[in-house]
Amino acid sequence: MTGNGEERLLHLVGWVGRHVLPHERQLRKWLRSAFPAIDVDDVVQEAYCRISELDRFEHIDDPRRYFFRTARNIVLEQVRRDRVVRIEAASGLVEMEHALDEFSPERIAAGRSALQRVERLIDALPERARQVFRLRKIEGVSQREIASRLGLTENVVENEVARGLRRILNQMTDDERGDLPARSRSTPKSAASMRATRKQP
Amino acid sequence: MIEEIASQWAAGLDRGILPAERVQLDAWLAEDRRHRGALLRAQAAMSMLDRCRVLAGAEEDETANDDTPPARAAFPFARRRLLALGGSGIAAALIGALSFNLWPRATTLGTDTGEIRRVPLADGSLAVINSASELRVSFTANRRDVQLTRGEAWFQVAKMPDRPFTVTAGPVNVQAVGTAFSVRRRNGATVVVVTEGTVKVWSGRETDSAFVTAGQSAVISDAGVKVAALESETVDRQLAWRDGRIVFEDVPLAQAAAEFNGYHAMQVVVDPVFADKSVVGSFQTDDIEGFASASAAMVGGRVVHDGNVIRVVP
Repeated sequence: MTGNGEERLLHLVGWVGRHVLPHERQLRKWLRSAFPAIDVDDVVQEAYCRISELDRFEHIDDPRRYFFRTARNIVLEQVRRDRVVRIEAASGLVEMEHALDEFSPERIAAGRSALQRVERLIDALPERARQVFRLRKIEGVSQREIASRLGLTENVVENEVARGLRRILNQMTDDERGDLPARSRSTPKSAASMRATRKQP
Repeated sequence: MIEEIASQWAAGLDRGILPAERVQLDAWLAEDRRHRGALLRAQAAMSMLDRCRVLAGAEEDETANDDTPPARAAFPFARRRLLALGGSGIAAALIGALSFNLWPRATTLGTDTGEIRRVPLADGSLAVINSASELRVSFTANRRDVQLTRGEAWFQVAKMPDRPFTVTAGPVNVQAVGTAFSVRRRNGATVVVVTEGTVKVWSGRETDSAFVTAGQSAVISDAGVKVAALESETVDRQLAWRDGRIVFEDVPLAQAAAEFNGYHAMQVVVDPVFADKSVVGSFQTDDIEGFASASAAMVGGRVVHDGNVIRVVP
């Protein structure tokens, strides 16, 4: 029984790593431009939470669309909960399809090159973390073995893994970081006006 | 900071955690449902890094890892039960089971507009009856018969192999042994949604029956029985009424309003120009005002109150 649960969880983790996480940056970008008033971190966090509660995911043909749709529904629920319906928040709802199309070139790049980017991210870590990550993730050495090879305590190695992971996650998903097309780095205000012009037929 | 702790746990799981740590992890996960999502995200990032190794063409030297398999150290996530019922429902079901002998032969159970009732049945089964619906329940030692005279109800059927549970909706029969499903009568058609196990459906002769299994729905009309698979999301959406919610996913506003109006004496009337505009969202069935104002905002209209009518107008 638990065996199945663990198995399922492992699959879910792998599935999220392959099909959901690589799109988080785009999702954040879209949320920020479509709903200037919302707390993007909060919505993304809730989206992962809902995905973690999934019983099945094999039937989800288009995980990226599913991820976007989940986030969109969360926004809508928040808008409703607040009781103050913000017109701009509601209008962004219609534009998800638009956003999915608009960001699709990045989507194609999300597969193999995302992994290459991850490798670059590992290489960009501070020296000791870089060593730890290369040994652990590229050469497959256990944390204990890394500790003895590098003359560190296991605790230090584990902390490097945790800190490095956090740093890599941030770089992978933060939509306001360097390697983005310039237009998406707009302030909420200009994002709103951008949306207004896009709405013209 | 949730993300930091989640990364720390992901690193711990990558190393392989001890039983004592497992207890701590479970406690942390139980603290806030968001912790699970954050851990899933951190572990997913870790799994991406693992794939790097494959990409780099490193030798698949699994033996080096055998003592601490990377993500193997999974932890017991309580599986979300699709049909999780409130504690009160379960308690009520127990009381129902105790009062078995007091249960009358045939009983009529009904709901008013806007009312949703959870009713434990004498055999330990549970019925959840949607707004403006009516059931006639008649149990004997060999049979459990329920007649749905109008509306919609969902049943979680107690397992009794030699005492079939049959729901009749007009000419349509739905038979189960131990399973969960809903039956809805509307506009001449009957819709059956199965959430657990398998039911047998027939209209007219029992020999012309069809089987409907979990994750499927059947539409029974004059044209016959049509069985189709449902996404689990769709099932959740179709049965959201049991939790007092109503969920729309790109539904035309006129249709959404009609659904909502089924729960209220107050009615939402949609201007024809907005009738076909689609709306999305999850609403409390008792909050018709909220539904009207959110919908109006979505289609770019406004709300006007007019006695017992809420109008959505340009």
